[in-house]
This record gives sequence, C-alpha cells and structure tokens, in this order.
Amino acid sequence: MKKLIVRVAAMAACVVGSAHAHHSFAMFDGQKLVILRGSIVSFSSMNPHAWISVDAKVDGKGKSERWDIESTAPAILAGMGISPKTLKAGDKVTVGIRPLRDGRNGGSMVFVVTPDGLPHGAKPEDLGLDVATLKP
Amino acid sequence: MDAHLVSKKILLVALATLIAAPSFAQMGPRGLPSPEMIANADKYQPPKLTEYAAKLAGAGPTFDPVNTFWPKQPVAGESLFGPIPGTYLKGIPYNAEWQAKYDSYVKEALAGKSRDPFAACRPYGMPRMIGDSPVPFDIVQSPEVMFWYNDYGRSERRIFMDGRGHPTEPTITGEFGPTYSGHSTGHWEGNTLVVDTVDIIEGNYDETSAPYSDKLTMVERMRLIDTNTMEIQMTLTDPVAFTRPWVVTRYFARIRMTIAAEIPASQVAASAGPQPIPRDFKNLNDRLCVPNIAIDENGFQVIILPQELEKQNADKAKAASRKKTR
Repeated sequence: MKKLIVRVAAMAACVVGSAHAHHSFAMFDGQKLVILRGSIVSFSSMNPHAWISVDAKVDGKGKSERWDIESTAPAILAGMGISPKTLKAGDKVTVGIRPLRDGRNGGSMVFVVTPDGLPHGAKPEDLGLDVATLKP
Repeated sequence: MDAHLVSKKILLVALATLIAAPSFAQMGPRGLPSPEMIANADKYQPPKLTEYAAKLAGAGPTFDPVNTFWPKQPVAGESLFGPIPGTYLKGIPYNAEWQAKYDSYVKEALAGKSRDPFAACRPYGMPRMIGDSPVPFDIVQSPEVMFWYNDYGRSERRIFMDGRGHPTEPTITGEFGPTYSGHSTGHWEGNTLVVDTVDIIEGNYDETSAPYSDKLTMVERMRLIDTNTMEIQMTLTDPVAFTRPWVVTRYFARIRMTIAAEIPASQVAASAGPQPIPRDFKNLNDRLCVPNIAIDENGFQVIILPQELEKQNADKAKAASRKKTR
C-alpha cells in the first residue's frame, strides 16, 4: 500500500508536471484528485490557459454544481485531442482535477473523459484508476 | 546519403529559408512603389532559392528547420529548469540577499501563494522559454538570422548571425529598453552554435518565481549530439543576484510535427504525458491572452474563476440597464 501511495504521488507530480507549463500551481492541491461527473457548460479556448466549465457532481454524488477547470494552452490541448468540437456544451464528461486549496469550485485539469469513453490528458490508469469506470 | 535525399533536404532548406529570410515592412502612404516598379512587376526575377540554400549550407550546421525540438521531460521528482510543482530550484548560486528573497517565495508557494506573472499573460521570454519550456519550439534557420518559435508562452527570439554586435547605450536595445527575450547574437564554433544574449527584462526562471535581475546575461552553447538530440548548455551570469555563473544543461529531442505517428514510442513515453502538437494547431498560441488571475494587496495571485467573471459582468449589465430605465 505504501508503495502504491509513493507511486501515485510520483505519478501525480509527473502528471502535474506534464500538464504543467505555466503559472504556479501553488493554489491547487496537488495531493488531492477530485472526480467530477456531469456535463459541459462551456469551453473557452483562450491563452494562457483554456477553461472547461461543467455542471457536475463530485464523484457523481450529491448536488450538481458549477465547476471551472483550468487546463493548459489551447495548442497543447489540441495535441491531446481536446477541442471545441470534442467538448461541446451539453456533452457528458468525467473530469479529474486538482482542486483549489481555498475551497472554491475550481481546479486544475488532470484528465477529461469524453462521451466516447476516451481519456484525454493524463492517463487515468497511471493514477490507479480504471478507465472503464470513468465513462460518462 | 543518396541523391534523392540530398535534393529533398536542399529543397526543404530552401523552402524554409524562403519563409524565414525576407523581412518586409509595409510601405507607408508616401512610400508606395513607383508606377514603373508596379508595371514591371512580372519581369522581376527573384534570386534562385538554391543559391540561398547553398549560402545557408555554408553558414554552419543546420538544426533542420522543418523539425521541432521537444524538451526531454524530467524524471519524476527532478527539476526541469525548472522544477515540477512541489519542488523548487536548487543550486542557483544566489548571493545571500537573493537567496533569502527566493526562499521567501518558495515558502509562500508552499503555502499556496504564487507570484509567477505568467498567468497575467507575461511572455516566457529568455531564459525561461528554453530552460522551463514544457513544450516544443521550432527553429527556422537562415544565414543571417535564426528564429525560434516557442509553442507556448507567446515567446519568440531572433538570433542575429550576421556578425553584428549588441546595440549599446543608453540601454542595449536603445531608448525602448530591454525585452523579454533580450538581444541575441550567434556564431558557429565548429559544430557548436554560440549565442550571447543580453538586455533581458527582469523576471523569473520558472513558476516558483526564482528571480533574476535585469543584469542577467547568458551564453548558450548549442549542438546536435546525435541526429535527433540537441544539447543546450546555458551559462547564466547575474552580477546582481549571483556569486558566480550558473551553468544549466538541457537536452531536446527532435520531433516531426507533421507526422506524429512516426515518433518512436519510447520518445513519446519519455515525454510523460503531453502529446506532440500537430503543426496546424501551433497558431493557437496566437490566441488572445486573458489574464485569469488578480494580484492581491500582498502581490500574490488570486485565481479568478470564469463563473465569477460571468457574475461580475451580469451584475454590471444589470446595473447599467437599471441606470437606463431610471
């Protein structure tokens, strides 16, 4: 178990480092991974970072709330296969985020699973998650 | 190498130089071409590209303009220039005053507070564009100047290869002052491109806000150490912040942006996540940059969520319509 935690921590560092690019991620909690299940409100493909907004439930439970997820630059997202076409308003998605430390409904994107069940960004299996369970 | 490959290479170099070499300024209202020039436009014979390619070939090794270099990603837990989040730079030869400054920034960052101005749309510039780049850059080479385009952070640089020196007084780029990428001149020493950069706006090496002063200068020694691997050794000198020069070496893998499928699986795996960016998407770097942070009274970043912006705008619109109806 200890080994797994070390591995997850190392991968998490790696993942943030790769989605990395940018301004400091100090405001996000790199130790926490929150899974949001819901639908796309909007996708703003602007620099320095694109934003993905969703109406979603944490772990698919409780009340649906608006969450804003900071991702990386549009050019990098495009390379991951994320574009305004793959993230249309109303599309069902599952998003993994590092949440804001201050408790507001925001976070830094780790991965997005599109309606077809395909993960984009970090590989969920590298975080110890089963991709099949993440299909929106 | 067979003749076909050679000619293909010359063609590619020629094409790249066609794009890179000329620098055109728009003619002003009083500077229009003469009617004779316009009338004879069809008769003008531009220089043959092959001549230019030959000139380029004689100007030093080529970093191959049709390709792009991808920074090798660090092993988890190790620094890029550059740290991965949660780590911070070690071994910077700061003097006591600047070390204390950096230590305080690190302490703040670990407490969830950041000063890195990138989210406020500051370009990466130099040396961050090379040292902390998480993404590839293109190099386009001509005999007189090399252009570097970063896929990220709206950063570009020109390295003058025509033998000019740095501009002098009053500041090096003259009355306009320094720039984010500084002023770079380069020359070849054998197979190594030696680039000297001065006049850089003060800034930070990476997202932990490791600072440098506006007296930072750098000498880069760049070379290909095999067909697909470029080494850049940076010697950073900062008389205000350092006790001695700081030498940083980074490696970059060549990738072919147009044919992502050709990248060896091992290389993609080594990139630990990000995928090569198809060439068509590169111009997205040119998109409007909207700062997504505010700076609080202590100089720290506070992230602004889109839902908060939307609410502010809606409130403003409501207030405006109320005013109208009154």
